[in-house]
Amino acid sequence: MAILRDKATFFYWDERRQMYIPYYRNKEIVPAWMGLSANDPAVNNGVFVVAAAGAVTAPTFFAQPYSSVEGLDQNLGTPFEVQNIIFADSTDTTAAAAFTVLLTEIGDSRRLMNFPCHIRTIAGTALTPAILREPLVIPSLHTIQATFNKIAGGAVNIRMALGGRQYFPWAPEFLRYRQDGDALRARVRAMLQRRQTVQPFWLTTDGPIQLVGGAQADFILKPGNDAQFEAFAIAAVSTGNFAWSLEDAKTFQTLMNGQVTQTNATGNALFPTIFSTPYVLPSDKRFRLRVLDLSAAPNTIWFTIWGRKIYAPFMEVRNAMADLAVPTMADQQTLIVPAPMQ
Amino acid sequence: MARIPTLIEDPQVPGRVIGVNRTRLDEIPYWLMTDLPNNIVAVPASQSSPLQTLILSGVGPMRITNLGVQRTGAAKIFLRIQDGTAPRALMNGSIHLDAICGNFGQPYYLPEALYVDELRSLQVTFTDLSNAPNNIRFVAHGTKWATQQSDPTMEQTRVRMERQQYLSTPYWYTTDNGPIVVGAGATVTQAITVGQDHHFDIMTLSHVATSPLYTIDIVHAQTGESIIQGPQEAHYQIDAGILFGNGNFPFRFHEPRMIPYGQKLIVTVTDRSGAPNTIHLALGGRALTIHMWR
Repeated sequence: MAILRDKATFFYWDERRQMYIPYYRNKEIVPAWMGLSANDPAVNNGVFVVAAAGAVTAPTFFAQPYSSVEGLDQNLGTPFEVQNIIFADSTDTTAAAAFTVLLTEIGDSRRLMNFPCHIRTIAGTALTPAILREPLVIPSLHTIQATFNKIAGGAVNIRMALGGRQYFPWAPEFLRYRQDGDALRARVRAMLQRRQTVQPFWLTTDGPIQLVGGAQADFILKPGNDAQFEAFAIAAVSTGNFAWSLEDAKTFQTLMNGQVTQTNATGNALFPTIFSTPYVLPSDKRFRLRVLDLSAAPNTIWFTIWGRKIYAPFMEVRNAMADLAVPTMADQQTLIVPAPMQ
Repeated sequence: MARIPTLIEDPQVPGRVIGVNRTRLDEIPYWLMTDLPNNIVAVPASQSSPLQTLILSGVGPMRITNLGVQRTGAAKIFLRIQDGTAPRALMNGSIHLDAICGNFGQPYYLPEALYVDELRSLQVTFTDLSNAPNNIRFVAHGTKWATQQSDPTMEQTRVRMERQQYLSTPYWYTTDNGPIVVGAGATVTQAITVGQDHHFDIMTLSHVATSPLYTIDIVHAQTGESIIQGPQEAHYQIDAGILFGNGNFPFRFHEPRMIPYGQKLIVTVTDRSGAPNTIHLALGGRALTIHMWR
């Protein structure tokens, strides 16, 4: 019987003997946190120093090692599935942290964002981690390069972690529980297959939005022509209150009948504004973001749309709506914390 | 949330994504506000605003799932639906804005999604409580379906959503005589009377009070049971802080509690802040139309 230990099962029902069998063994899927790589000499006990504003900070990275026991992993390695992003800032205090980060998947040469994003629009804290609705899968021997840039103030010590699941397809337990091993490896294969087509992506403006008091301006958000972009949440930080509206720059499909404000509808990485339903932006399209300052003072705004890129064409599906239930909030749990998407 | 799936997966190869469902382009997130030009409702000090309508264009219907607000001072809100020519209230009286509207990334989740279309619009009235001019920006988050006219399956879904709303709609109750005003250390009792045309299924509790330091008991008058302690012979008031949330985080029931039409809840509160306390309660839930259920 296949009993994957990602579920809290500490016993199973033995049909032949008609009794519960308690058992304990090491998990093959464990909760884990991937910190900045200790292989970077600039990372000291997980602490990385981001240089003062105006100075250049060399990139650092998150690295996923490879490990196996006698080839049991069947070349799947030990992939890591990122479910959330967490950071701590011991100098500015996390709530006021002012630096950007650019994440790039080095192995695939894919950027995970079109431009550096403000850290407080993509990373949360242990209390409220920034939960990805499309997990980021990092295969063994892949690295995620992180380039930090201080926006204001002096150098700052940071810690950052990618939280999620660590898979061990080579676990020696599988010598005893062979079916478990097959099930886990099938799951890992599906995960590695999916990451070729779908990956999380953060879409922001080309640099911060800077407005003088009371000004309004348009900005184009460019996810690139390589994939469809599906947006599902918005996070922003700013020096003052502002109002905004969003539309497809080519089709003029608007998502609102006016401008919402930061206060009435815009969250940050801790509590992003989660869309009632995701918005799919085809690969040849752009978002136009119209921003109006409400603070009557110079306002710097960092605006990030959370989403995922899908490297696949549009297709017709017959009866796509056949199984669509009438959605009723009463039937669902509160989405204060977003759940991973299917 | 149930919605049109985005990814088309290969049934033969687990994890392989072969396409993006084109129909997803017809389902979009939408933020609906009071009418243009600036979506700001200016409420004079201590007065009510004129009736404001949130009008949806004819492109497609929408289901409202969340409410958010930015305001310069405290205010009350009254929501209703204009369905054809008949207005239909969604609450038994004005409710404090902060009890059923969130803000930033924590909008208020409606107990049940509200269906609106070009013929069925949400209407809102604000009443200032701050004794000063009050500018209110109100927004309803939701999902909108476009091009449903050209897709028969989308049209069927629209009809289903519309018909469902004749069976149940989101609804809020507050105390019959407005906010509960209780003196320092005093005890006050008020009633909540469920309307004659629907049963009320309570699903959330939220409040706004001068001080959260008060105790409360809510008793179903017809059965004598407290909805807090259930069918016990003796029941007692418990601290409001462990029972009531706010507009950002209303307390959500694990299991709704239905109160039949025309019946009453007796609310007893005792202040323990040591100062006069004004308490706005909001019981969120859904109204189940008795014409259908009886």
